[in-house]
Amino acid sequence: MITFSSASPIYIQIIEEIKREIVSGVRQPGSRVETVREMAQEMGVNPNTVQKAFAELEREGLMYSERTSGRYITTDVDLIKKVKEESIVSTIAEFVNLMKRSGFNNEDILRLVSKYLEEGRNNG
Amino acid sequence: MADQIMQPDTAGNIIEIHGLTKTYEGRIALSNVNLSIPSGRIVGLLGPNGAGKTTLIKIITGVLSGYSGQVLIDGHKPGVYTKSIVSYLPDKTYLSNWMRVSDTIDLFNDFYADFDRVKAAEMMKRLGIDPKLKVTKLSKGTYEKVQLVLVMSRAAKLYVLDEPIGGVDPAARDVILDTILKNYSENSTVLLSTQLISDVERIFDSVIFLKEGQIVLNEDVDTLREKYKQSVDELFREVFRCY
Amino acid sequence: MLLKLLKYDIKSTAAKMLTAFAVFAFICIVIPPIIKLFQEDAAMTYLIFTVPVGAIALSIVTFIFIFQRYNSGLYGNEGSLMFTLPVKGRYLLISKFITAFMWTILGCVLGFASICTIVYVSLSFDEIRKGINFLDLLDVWNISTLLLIITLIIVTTVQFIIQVYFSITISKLPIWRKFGVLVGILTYLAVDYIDSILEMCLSPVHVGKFKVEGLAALRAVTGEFIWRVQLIPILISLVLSVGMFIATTVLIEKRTSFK
Repeated sequence: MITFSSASPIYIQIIEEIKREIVSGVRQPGSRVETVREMAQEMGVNPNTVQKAFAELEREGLMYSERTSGRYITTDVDLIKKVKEESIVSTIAEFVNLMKRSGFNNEDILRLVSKYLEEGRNNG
Repeated sequence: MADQIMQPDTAGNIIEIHGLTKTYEGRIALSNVNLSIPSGRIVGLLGPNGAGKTTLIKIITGVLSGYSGQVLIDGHKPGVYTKSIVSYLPDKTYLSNWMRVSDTIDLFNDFYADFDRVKAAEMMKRLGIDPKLKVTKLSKGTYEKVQLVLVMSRAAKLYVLDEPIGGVDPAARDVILDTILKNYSENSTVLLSTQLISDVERIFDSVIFLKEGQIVLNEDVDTLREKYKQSVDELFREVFRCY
Repeated sequence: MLLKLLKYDIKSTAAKMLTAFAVFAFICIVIPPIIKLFQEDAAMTYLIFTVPVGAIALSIVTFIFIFQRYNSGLYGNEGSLMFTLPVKGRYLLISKFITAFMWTILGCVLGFASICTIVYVSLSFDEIRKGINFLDLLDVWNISTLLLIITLIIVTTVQFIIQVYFSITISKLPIWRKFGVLVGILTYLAVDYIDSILEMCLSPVHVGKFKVEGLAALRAVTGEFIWRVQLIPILISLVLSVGMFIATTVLIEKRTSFK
């Protein structure tokens, strides 16, 4: 059973977890999603909570349901890419803010990041 | 596989309580309680000892009477009909001492039309419970599992579980929660009272805080978390700080 | 529903009651004739000790069972199970009553059988045989008397059981706080007291008028006349029993507290 943080509603945390799995490729486009009941049992949460999460993901277009066969992850790779980029934006924002607070400006940030990536590539 | 759980509830609320007050032995156990709970929900009844949880539960299950106010279970006053649609798990041992586990299954099968004896037998087997054992020879944990299996093997409209996970080891606790979730159906509601909130709050749709016989809070868990930015457990500790 | 309740009430008590009955039967009914085969005198002596003790023991055991099955069955932990079964409270009461009645009557039958054993054993004593003209005895004990005795046993048993149940239920009312048990005992005694008073006031007792001696007196005391004397006490007992039954049913179905 996964642990949920206490600060936000569980269905939101489920949405974020599923988004992470889509973005990282754990859930492939077009792959089948567990049923509400299965997921509720796996996670040890109320089925209505899972239902809410699914409803929201469907609304955002990341999941769709076929009446007879169940729910699937979207095959819209552009949408997935967009979500992937959106999900990282807040992390980037946090990083940039941290750098700026430490006294670096935009050029410094770009230079340091490029240098880091270069060294990373050389080291294999 | 049809998976739509949030269907509009046209059947009416499974629990409708208005102005419920109950005094006994000179004490006010419940004071002007108002409650409406629809089908297809898992509701937590939370509060410290003496708050009135067990009293409320006993009135809902028809074990206790002599109250003022209106209590309707599936539109009926507590009585023979409500007992046939309510499956009650008390917080103590309640099986007859002379029985074997198989006798308890027979008993439930004889008296409850909604009892599924095949399901009960399967669950007992999965939990490693020998049906030929005498009830008095069971360990505390196994006894509670037996009672839980009996109660959850009924296709009741309302399950009322009074402290089902208190004093039980974590592994058994998971089994109990898992059983509750497995048996969930949109046609039934589970009312679960507990003091161990952090383990259980993820399965609740909504929670009720009962304090000194009065309802001080009755909200959806998601709304609570958004509003207070806390888990139900943390909120509970705050509300009942003096306890 | 009632039959199902009966099934479980009987099942719950059968093992212990039948064991108690079997032990009594063995000691007081089976053994004596065997002893008689070996040594006639010994059999009677044996019976003088075992039958009274056995009868008292059996009565106590039966009473304890009647009491316990009701007390812990409805007001102990088991009560949570009983009162959540989809049956009306009165059926719980009726089922327990029928079971208790059944065992008590069975006990009485065994008691009667042990008396027959005494008679059988004592028949070998010529002295007693000379003293009593058996046919005279049979003449006195006609059908009417037999019926009366059976009715008295049934009515007494019914009242006894209901009185115990009623007292227990009264003792469980929350009004008494800690004094429940005391109130229960007082209730039982109070009903007995009321029963006696009603009997004294309402039933004609004219035995004193008959000063006839010997067998004629026996014939007069037994037989039809006794019906007229016993009829009113029997009715009083029945009325009290019905009253207590109704009161107990009401209290059970409208329970105000359940610990």
